[in-house]
Amino acid sequence: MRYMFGKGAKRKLDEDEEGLEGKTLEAPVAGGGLGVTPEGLSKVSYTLQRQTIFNISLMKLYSQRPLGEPSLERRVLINNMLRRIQDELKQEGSLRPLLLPPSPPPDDPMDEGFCEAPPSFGVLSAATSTQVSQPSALLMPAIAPPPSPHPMVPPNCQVSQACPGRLEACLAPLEACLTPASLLEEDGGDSAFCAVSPPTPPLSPPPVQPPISAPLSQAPPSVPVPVFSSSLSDMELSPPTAITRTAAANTTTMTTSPAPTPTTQPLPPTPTSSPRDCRTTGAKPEAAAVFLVEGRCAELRPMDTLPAVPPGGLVDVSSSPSCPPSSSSPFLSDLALDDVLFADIDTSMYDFDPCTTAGGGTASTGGLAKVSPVVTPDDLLKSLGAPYSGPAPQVSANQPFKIDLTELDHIMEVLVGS
Amino acid sequence: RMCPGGDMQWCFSQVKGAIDDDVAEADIISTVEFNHTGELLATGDKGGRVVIFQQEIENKNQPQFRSEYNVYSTFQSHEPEFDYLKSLEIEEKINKIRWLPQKNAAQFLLSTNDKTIKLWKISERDKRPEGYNLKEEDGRYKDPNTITSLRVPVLKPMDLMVEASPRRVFANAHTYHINSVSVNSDNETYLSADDLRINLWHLEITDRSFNIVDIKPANMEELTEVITAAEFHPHQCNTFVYSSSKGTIRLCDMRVSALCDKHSKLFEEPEDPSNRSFFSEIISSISDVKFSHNGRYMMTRDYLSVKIWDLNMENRPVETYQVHEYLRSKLCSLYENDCIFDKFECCWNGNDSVVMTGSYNNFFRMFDRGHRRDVTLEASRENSKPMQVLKPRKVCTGGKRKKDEISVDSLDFNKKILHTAWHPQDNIIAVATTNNLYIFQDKVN
Repeated sequence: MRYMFGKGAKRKLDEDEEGLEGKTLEAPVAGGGLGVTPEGLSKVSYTLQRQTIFNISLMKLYSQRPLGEPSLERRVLINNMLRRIQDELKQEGSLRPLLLPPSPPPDDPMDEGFCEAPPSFGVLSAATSTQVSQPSALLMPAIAPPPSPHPMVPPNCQVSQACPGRLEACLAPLEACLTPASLLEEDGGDSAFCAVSPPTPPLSPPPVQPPISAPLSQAPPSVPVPVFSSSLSDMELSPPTAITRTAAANTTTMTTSPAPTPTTQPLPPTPTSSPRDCRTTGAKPEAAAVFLVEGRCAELRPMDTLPAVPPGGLVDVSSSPSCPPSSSSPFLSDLALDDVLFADIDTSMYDFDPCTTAGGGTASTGGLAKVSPVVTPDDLLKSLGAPYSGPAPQVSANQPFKIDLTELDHIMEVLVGS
Repeated sequence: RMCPGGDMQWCFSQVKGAIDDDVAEADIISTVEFNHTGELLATGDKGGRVVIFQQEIENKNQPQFRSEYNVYSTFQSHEPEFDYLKSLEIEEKINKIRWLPQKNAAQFLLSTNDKTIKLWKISERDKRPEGYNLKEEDGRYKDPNTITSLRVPVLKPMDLMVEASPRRVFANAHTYHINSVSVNSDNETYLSADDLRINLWHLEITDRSFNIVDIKPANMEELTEVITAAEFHPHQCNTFVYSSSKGTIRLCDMRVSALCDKHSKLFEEPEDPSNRSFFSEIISSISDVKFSHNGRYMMTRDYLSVKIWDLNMENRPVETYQVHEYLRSKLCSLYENDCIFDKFECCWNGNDSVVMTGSYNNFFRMFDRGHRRDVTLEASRENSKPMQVLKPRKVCTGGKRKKDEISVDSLDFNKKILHTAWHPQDNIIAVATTNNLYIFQDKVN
């Protein structure tokens, strides 16, 4: 975080990076393409640089930002970088088709989330929850959707009178909100679906119990409902009226002058402490938020390392025979797994940050303390390869990917409240 | 009193803020803006507060004329909010402050965080009515039946009290983060821009706004470009520009159509192939756009340079100034530590002859357009003796480092000057380091 200083210590540039840059970036690039190797620049060092930048970009995109919502511009730029590199790799023919889960269903027109293309490996996508539907496509059969607030409640489910003319929030067809009947049944009839709920008053905080929201955002009932939105869906349009003031600053003067007539909407009393405690961030809450409601973070802590997808639901990346059919396949879909997994990646990119972490006290700093990296590429392959064969590895707070299916069931039971 | 630059020397005048090296995050300055006369200087910070300084007008006839800025008003503009739906906190950080031209005794400004814009009225009270016969000594109201005479209170002077009150709250119109606010020359409307949309507001109407630009793609997976800044033309109330993360600027005319998705002009400079790199796009992203006071030019700031555009020429800027070209070979590191995403602002002086922008290591740069001269200065406590003349700084890019030069590798990338402002008439500048506000003036001889 840029503002975390040492005490006046001058910050030096990274020597390693400088060495890399000195060799490569200085050299002019002849011709048009990004990757045309200029004279004097060896192909190897160019490739190395490109790989480095690719890895850095991946880490940036999927690592946790502690404060609020990450910048959309930054993520767009990093995403563009990754796409460019991928295109280049494609052109060079060094990509092997990767076996992938089905591509995401077409976006709900009301879905304003910036869906980053998911990484190619199912576990990572589960852990990072950036993928809208791929894990969920496999998740749904395995687990009933938890009746927890979904960060991406379709805006049309909560149309409010105070909607200030923002057309998106007010005009969506109601059917986008409807839960497929099959899911309703799976869930045991919990009333936690927004299917036909009337518009909720915009400024009242949601009830402590998970508010009415379907864990879905997509329309077509035939497609398994995605439980997790993409990592940028926090950027999207939720009914603006869901924003609740935590203080009545709008209506008070700062000095002793006579009180002015308030020009804002009436503000409901809101809890000021609990939201902060349970603050999640944009990139990660998709998986975590499924399980977390403000005010309930504490009781859900044991499961805060739960990945979105159980091992059983993971794509068996190493052996599935199908290729991604869609033309709009995620930008990483064509990369060979090897290229990414076995590259020298700092595994801190695999951190999984739910709302609260082992050090709950970090909430005050907005913080999502990083879980220390533990998954090596080899581990990933092992866990992907045979989810049910052999003993399931023990789960610890530092190993979000190695989770016992029985523990998962237990967690789900707690959530469903049975 | 406008000196054309060139031989102009800058002196330290004042510094505001804590001396402590330990920066409280809430104190980080996030915006700086002079009002239209320059008498008031407003800052916003990460903690949602606005501090307004007022210039004390000393005797201008004295040769050693110096005017100081002192705190005039402080208020909490925005509070943190929590979006329950997305489980996200909405920062209270003030992204922008824009003053309205003064129409009466009170001052008005717009301040905005990521989601909500507020119109604040700042007014003075220096009289108070006295002489009511309605209350007892202890303040209790008298029984009306006991009051037998009519006493009209008189206004008596009192210590000056400056009050800030929110007059309008413009909320719930932005899904994405607001990056710009710009008051129209008609003084009735203003625009607010977020990453994907620009809205037009009337200052009197808070419950609705018009969307005039929308670049959100139908499929968000196709999003590759965002809006980074927007501003109204200083004289033509139908014209505004907005810049993008791909280094383009679009000029739009609101008379053409209600939705200004089609630009009237597109300003873009073709890429220099010799400078092509992985980071070309990122460093081309425009962090600030400002019209000149005369309305004939606009200035854009991207990561490494400042460009001046003639509004009549779209295919390339008329002037380009390198702010810190020595960073070009460090882009990978700057990408890794996120510095490459820093959003530097830029500003014009009163007669559009000099432009200024910030850099790292608490350096800031001025480019004198007429004299083709530029200078690097530093805002630091070490150079903070009263009237101390600022010595030009130089960054050594390689080879032998001369005395007083600083090498690129010694630059402190945590000390960045993102926000600067220039007095609309005089040579007084406000430069914000992380948590301090420096005020410099030209040397008066």
